[in-house]
Amino acid sequence: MSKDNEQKRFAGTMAAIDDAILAATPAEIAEELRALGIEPGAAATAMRARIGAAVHDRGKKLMAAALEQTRRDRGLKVISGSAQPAGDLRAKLARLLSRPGVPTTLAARDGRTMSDADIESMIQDLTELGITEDEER
Amino acid sequence: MTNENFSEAVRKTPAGAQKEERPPAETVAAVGEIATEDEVRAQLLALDDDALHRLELGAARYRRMLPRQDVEELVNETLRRALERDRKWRKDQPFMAFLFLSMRSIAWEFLKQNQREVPASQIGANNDDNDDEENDGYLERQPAEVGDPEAAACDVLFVDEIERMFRDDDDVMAVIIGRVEGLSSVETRERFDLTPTAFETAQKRLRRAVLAGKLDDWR
Repeated sequence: MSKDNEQKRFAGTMAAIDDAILAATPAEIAEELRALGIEPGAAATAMRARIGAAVHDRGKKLMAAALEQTRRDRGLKVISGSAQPAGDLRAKLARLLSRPGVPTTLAARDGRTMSDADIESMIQDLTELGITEDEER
Repeated sequence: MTNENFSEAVRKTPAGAQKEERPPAETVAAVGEIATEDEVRAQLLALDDDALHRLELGAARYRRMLPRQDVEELVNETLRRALERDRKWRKDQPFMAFLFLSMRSIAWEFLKQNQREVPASQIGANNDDNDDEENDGYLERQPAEVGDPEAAACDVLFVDEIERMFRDDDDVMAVIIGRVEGLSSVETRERFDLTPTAFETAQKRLRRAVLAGKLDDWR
């Protein structure tokens, strides 16, 4: 069988199985996970964590790219933030993200799905981009 | 329907004639509109437990073809490519079908990659991030015949095994052939004269046969 036909046969067979998985009822899916020795609750938690990690990694990549772009645009002028007073970091992040100059892809991250550590990290990243609540820019 | 008929049907369908995933008519929206990264991220974060279970099952299904670490990487790579829009989600396509399609494609890449002996020194030799495109470049220069014969035959063996398992089950073979030929569910039912119930029960038999067996059997 040619390579093209081999791939087509593989892809078609896998697609038929995919359809069968997508067409199953939630109860059937949970039952089949258990039959594989996978506890559905744990599987959902683990998968959600993987998605969270992938989103986080992507955010870090975007931040690094934005930082690099800003460095190029501003000639390496990075303003450090001062010590943060205690307060609502989520509210602070929301204020920072609403400021002009925040890359669209970052502004879309409203902080509601992020951990406290992620929020602190993102505020730090924004500071490195020169986006702070200080008016010294 | 016999195994010979199945293979014949595959041969008669020209390569490249396979159609794209087709969404059910009721989900069709702005045809061809590509989702933004924000939309993809929002979809991923909004997946409910049932969708996450299906993703887990979708990946576990490859355990008979791929080494365990590849199966685990399959999900990560699917998520990464979706988020980075290496694979673009057309919004007229159900999101889960899009993820499954990506997973199939990546599994095929992994299978082909496993068929070739890639010296560890070559992987990421000039690239700390072990970037796929770099590896692809190396792999593309390698003859397909080299490598572990057992791994090389894994995809073929798996498909052969399924065909053998269902050689006397016309309905399941119709479900598979319909997909190989790029037919929609409705077209498959019409062509093979299947009732919706017969089609659904055939899908169930296929799913259960493929997923049967504990993960202890992982190769």
